Amino acid sequence: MATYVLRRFLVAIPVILGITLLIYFMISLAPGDPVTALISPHDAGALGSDWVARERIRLGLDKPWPIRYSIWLNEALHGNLGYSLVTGRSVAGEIVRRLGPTLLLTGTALAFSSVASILIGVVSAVYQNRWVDNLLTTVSFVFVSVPGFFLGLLVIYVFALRLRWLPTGDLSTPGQGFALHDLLTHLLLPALVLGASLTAGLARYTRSAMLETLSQAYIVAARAKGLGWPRVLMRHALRNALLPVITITGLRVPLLIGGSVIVEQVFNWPGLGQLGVEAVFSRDYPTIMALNLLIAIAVVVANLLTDVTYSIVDPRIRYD
Amino acid sequence: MDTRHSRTTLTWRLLALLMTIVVIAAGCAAPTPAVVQQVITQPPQIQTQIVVNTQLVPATQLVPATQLVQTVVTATPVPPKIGNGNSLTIGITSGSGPLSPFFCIGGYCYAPLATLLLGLTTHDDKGQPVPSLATSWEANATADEWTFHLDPKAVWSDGTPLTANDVAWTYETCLDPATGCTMTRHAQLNLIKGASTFKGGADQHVPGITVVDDHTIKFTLEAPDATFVNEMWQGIVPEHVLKDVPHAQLKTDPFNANGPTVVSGPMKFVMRQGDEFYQLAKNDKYSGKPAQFDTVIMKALDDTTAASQLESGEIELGRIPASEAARLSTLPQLNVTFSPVDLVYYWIINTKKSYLKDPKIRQALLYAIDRKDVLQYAWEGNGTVGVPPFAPDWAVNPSLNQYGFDAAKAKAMLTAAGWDWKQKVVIMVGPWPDNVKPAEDTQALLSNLGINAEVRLISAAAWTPEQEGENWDIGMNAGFWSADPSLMAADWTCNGWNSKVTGWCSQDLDKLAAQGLTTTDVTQRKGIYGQISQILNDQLPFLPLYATGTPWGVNKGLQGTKLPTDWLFETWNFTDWHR
Repeated sequence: MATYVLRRFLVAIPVILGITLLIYFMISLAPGDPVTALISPHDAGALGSDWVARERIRLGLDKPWPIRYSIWLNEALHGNLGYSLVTGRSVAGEIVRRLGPTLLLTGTALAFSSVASILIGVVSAVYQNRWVDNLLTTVSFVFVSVPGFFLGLLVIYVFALRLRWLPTGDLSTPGQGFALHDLLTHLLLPALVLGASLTAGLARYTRSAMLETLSQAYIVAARAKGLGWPRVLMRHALRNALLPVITITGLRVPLLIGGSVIVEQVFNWPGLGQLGVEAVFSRDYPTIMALNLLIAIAVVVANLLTDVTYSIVDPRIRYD
Repeated sequence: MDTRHSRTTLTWRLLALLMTIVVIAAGCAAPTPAVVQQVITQPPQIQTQIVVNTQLVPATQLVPATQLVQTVVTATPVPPKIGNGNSLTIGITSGSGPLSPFFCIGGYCYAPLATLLLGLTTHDDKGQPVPSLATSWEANATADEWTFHLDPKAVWSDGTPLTANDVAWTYETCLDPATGCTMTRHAQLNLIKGASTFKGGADQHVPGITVVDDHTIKFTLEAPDATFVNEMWQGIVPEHVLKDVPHAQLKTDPFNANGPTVVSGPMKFVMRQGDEFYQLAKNDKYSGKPAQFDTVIMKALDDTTAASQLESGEIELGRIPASEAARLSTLPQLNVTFSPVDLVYYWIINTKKSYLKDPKIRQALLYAIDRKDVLQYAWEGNGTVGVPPFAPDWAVNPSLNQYGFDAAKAKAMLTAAGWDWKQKVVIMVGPWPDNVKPAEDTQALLSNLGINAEVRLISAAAWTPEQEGENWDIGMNAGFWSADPSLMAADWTCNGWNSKVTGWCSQDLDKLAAQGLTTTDVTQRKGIYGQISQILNDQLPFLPLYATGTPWGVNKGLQGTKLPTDWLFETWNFTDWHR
């Protein structure tokens, strides 16, 4: 297993390098650059073309993109992710500051959706083709079909504007310092929205996996021997049914980070998704590269963890 | 699978589809609040003065004791949240960047900075310069020397006196190319003698900046400029705090990147949470009128989010989309107002293209656009259609051709000018709603006339290089309705940005624009800018669309706001705000 993990990490290095190179190349093709993104044409005229040219040189934008990439890579390998071309603040500092809210949001959504999807999937499978199953299936289809941004706006309208039970967005109430209740109140709606479509999809997978497991001979044998349904479900069926679900969940983690972009925009949640959108619009190359590096590493680690967890849950799986 | 099961499954799937449609439809439906009429009684009120043409005119008017008032009853029993207490939370324009006059670009920083680091002047709600750190100023007869007199009581929040040396240091640091300062794009710093060749460096000074004494500073200009004072509102920075920071590192210094730790304004900086919000506290050392709030939170929000948070009571002031103004004005806890004319929208014409060189073609295009229709579509009709390119009112030439919508005339003019009806006309716009909507309507209007028009949408970051390119015929532009006509005229001089991208240039206009800066006499300037506007009206290098004000939502618990022509100055009279 250790050899396997080491081999996976070694393979991941050129993969991540290739991703960063591709991203840098693609973003350099996009029209405009940080200087033109920073100021309006009117301001560019007022500042003069000399100012624009000077700024490009000061920010190193006059160099060809392979050289700029090499400089960035060299610095990144030494632990320096640079400074934002827009804000002047340390990119690493900004990512660390935003990572917490994103992890909080995606972690909560993942935890909620994992628990909910298992419950829904198991109930649906046990009561297959009965009204409970049909109702849960219908609701799942609805949540898979309704776009996340729309659901977000809808819950804001209902819970924040009409009922005034919850705030419209943000991480917390500004100026009041940390308060757990305040944080949870702000977290509830965006986490529910982000988790909703994930729950629906995972619930379907869980249901399918449970149905397949429940039809296995050993389950029938266990029941024939007199074991109770709860024990058969929890000790025998669920553990085997979870194998594909673990795989799907692990593969969904990076998608959650990407999917949080929309939810963060809708709820004004100050996370990495919002940072990424702003960085792309303002052509903030250091921030874009740092974020993509982080996501690439997250994908690699998530895939590895999924495979390792899979082998732990299923002793039949062994890696060399 | 048996038939009964198939039918059941089908039933549930149809139900799922129906529920999805219902959810989406329910979300799209706009609420219609009930309207209740009631008569309210209040003590008679006497208004003692009114403002006419920027002058106070004494008047006496009795406001009736009883009024018929229509109030709106919402479906929810939850009472609207009216602001109270000594803490205030407002929305400001979203954006990111340093909180520093050196590097501030955008409303996200102007609003807090106006309460933290004061400039020599500020702008009032009509865009006119009013005293701030400078209590008075004067120009010499030829308008190439300006002297500002600072408030002798002005002091930094750490107790250090604020002097003319701080002003000189701020401007010279900004003019040093190593700083990368963007203040110059607003401030008239480049007009100062020696500014354009200033290289910075130790013990180097700009020849045109003279510290006369601790509270007097003089600027000598390269050429006369009667409007120099208009742009001297940028914040002054404490020399004693930053003088030892190398200029190339100023942008990343915490004072600028995070927030100013020493201030001159009515509020002081407490903290910022990234680009989400700033927390400010009352500055007890401020020498002017004190702020009425102990704590202010300024949240950086886009206008759609600001509208939601105004409605929920999470903020008490913010810009809102024009499309929300009517709905929000029905809410009992909010006042919705449009600031005085703020932005002027116009189509610039790429006269480098041979088929757009003829002024008659451009005139025809303006006749072809029903600007009232475009204003209605893009701004719900909130604005003014007209052609005067200048403000204030004294600069408006009353004899300009209004080019009222006339499709038949447009078609006849185009035909007479030999227009090729197969010629494609590309309308280039950025991704902002105030660009896209007028583009859609203009395209439709031109297409109705038989012109082959298409809309090309480009990203914000690509805007500047694309405007300099060739892949457009008509482009959206918007300018601030500035307090002085010279600023808008400058855009159309041969060195101005608009002229550069459109390829249009008039030597006559250049001469007149230069003349307009050499005198402060309003009558003379009126004649000069009248001629300039006539040239632009005849030649039409741009097609004026309309002028709009900025819609604002203000909670009824907040009084004293006078939202300005230029929304960058939303906190210009912050010390007058109160409960």
